[in-house]
Amino acid sequence: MSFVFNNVRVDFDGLTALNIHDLKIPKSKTTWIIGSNGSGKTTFLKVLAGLIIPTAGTLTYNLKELITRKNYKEYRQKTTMLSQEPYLFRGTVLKNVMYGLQNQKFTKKESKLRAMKSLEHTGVAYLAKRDSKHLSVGEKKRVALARCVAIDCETFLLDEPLSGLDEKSVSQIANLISKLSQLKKTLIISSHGIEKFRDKQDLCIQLKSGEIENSCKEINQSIE
Amino acid sequence: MLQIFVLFFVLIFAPLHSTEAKRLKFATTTSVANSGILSPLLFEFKKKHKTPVHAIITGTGKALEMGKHGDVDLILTHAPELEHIFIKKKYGINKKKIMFNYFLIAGPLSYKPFLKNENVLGVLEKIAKRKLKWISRGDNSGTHIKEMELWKIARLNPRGKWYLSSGLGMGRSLIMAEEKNAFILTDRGTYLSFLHRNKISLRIIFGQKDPNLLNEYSLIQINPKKHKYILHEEAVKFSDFLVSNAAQCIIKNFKVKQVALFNPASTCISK
Amino acid sequence: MGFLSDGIIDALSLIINFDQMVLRAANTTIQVGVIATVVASLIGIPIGFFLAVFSFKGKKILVVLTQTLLGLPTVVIGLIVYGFLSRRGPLGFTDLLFTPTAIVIGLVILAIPIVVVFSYTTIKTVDLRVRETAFSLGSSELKAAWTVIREIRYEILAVILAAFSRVSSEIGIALMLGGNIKGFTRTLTTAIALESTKGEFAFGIALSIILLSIILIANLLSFIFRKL
Repeated sequence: MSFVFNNVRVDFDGLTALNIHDLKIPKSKTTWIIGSNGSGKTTFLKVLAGLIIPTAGTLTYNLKELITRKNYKEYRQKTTMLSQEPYLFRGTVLKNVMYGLQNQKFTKKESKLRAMKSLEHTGVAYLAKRDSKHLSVGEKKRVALARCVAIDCETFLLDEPLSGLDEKSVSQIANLISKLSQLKKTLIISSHGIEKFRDKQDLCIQLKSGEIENSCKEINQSIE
Repeated sequence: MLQIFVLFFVLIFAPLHSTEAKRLKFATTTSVANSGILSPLLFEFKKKHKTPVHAIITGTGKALEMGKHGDVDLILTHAPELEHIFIKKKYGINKKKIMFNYFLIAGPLSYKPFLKNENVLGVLEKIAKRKLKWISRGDNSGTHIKEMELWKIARLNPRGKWYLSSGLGMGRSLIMAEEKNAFILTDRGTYLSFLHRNKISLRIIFGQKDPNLLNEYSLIQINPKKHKYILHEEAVKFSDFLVSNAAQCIIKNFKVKQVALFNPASTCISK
Repeated sequence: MGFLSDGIIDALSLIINFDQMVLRAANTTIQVGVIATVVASLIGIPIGFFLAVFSFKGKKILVVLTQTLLGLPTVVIGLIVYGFLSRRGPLGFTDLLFTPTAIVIGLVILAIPIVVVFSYTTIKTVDLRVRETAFSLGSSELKAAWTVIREIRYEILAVILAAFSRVSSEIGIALMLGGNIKGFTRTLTTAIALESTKGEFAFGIALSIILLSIILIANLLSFIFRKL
């Protein structure tokens, strides 16, 4: 088991945004979080990313209680997250992708190599030398995804990676996702609806108003 | 961390501080500074003495306050009564008269014949009776204190729309009087310098050497027993210098457009 | 009105002739202004960052308090610092009163609220997304803070420039704590004040043109720096 939720609750200004009583997310598998806007998908991912500390409850990772006030900082190093509306730092696209790699103590040369490879994976290698401020929404998203997957992590959290992309980009990114899952990475991906390329083995959780509404099985059945 | 911080501060301030070695500070009034008399006096003092002298330009009230706190080593002011109290309270010692001149009353030229009088009190009486516009400094400066004394001696209580309190320095009050076509009590130095530079067209309404208008500048050393930081030795040297023949002659010979602004307190013997 | 045009002509002739008094005053202005701005920025930007990023009890009160301090008259700052530096005051032994350093101390106090409030508002507008992105890419707390500052470096530069402009055009503090000593603590602003007491309005205008030129040059330099 990778993540185990035990009565995890997140409140914002007294309002409950997320309330998960009992949930297990397996390691080395892909899990989809399905829900409409405001269903708590982003909060869910941010909790897993260590960006939001739960108001109550415990969250364990590999049977070790991890996401607490004390250790969430070191925990952050083990995951990486792609935001729904990613923010690109000032500077070139390449520099952006190298940012996370340099946090992992790769040399400059090595970071550059890995960054370029990652940009190729998301199909935007041609943007490497461009200024990050002058990109289209789709380009931004793919650059941010490249920046995210360039890092060698156990867990990848992707918040709506496919929204706002054209069909060609969607299939490119779908390829990338399946590649990552072949590498036995833990993938947790949020989405508006059910993506057609989703693997049958993938798990899914449907969120509504911050709570789990449907188990995976039912959704799997609906696909078949 | 703290050490780095302190070191950083020291490094930053070092270039500023290198020039701030021992120095003699004396507070004086704008009227002295604006006359230009300080430059030749300080230049002469510098010839024989190493200690730099810094003149802090302010008003009489503030100068006395600075002296009281021991923030300066000497004060050169022109408010005999306040100076008397200052010494009586042991804030200062060794008062020495340096120079003097006479205050004068300036105002619009057209009134001159009408206000002609042997005595300054008579002039004030006429102004008050006619409610002619008057500008008062109203800032507790030496000049303002002198003005209040004059009204008191004349047994007049100036009040009303004609009596305006500016709260400004001498120069700016003169310009106010010019703009308002009003009368004003002013020191001779500031008045002449403004007249010569065409800043005002006010004329001297009463400019006689009336003892009531005496304007005396005195140097007071700050009592070293009150403050341990006072540079007493240097202060004595500076004090002795200002009453020396050399300094007194500089005061006597200091002229703006051929007009002497100050009279030395003691006689200057030309060699 | 005449003195305005005279002022412009005077300013040009003062600059062309390298007038000694003006040069010294301009030099003092730049020196105390730069040092005060640097010190205030080093203190103020981290405080602004802290206020923008962390939430703690009484934070709102602290922000409102700092904003209120923006309205503190410079003469009051001058009086308070005077009280400390006066020989009868707690720091009297330093003999700093009527020195450029005294002016710097006053100006730092003037500039800190400016730097804090403006850097707080700038950092707040970008902070959350930048920090979250930095964290999700494995940054430490310190690296994330550095990233935030890097991201808004031009805005921060604008804050620093605003502080410099305020500090170098200030008069109450320079007059009170510097004492307007010729060639030592006389700044352009205190020189302007003195000239205006002498009735030399044109000369005062000339000096203020020189002061504005200095501030303009500082802004131009930052513009060039931005292009690099």
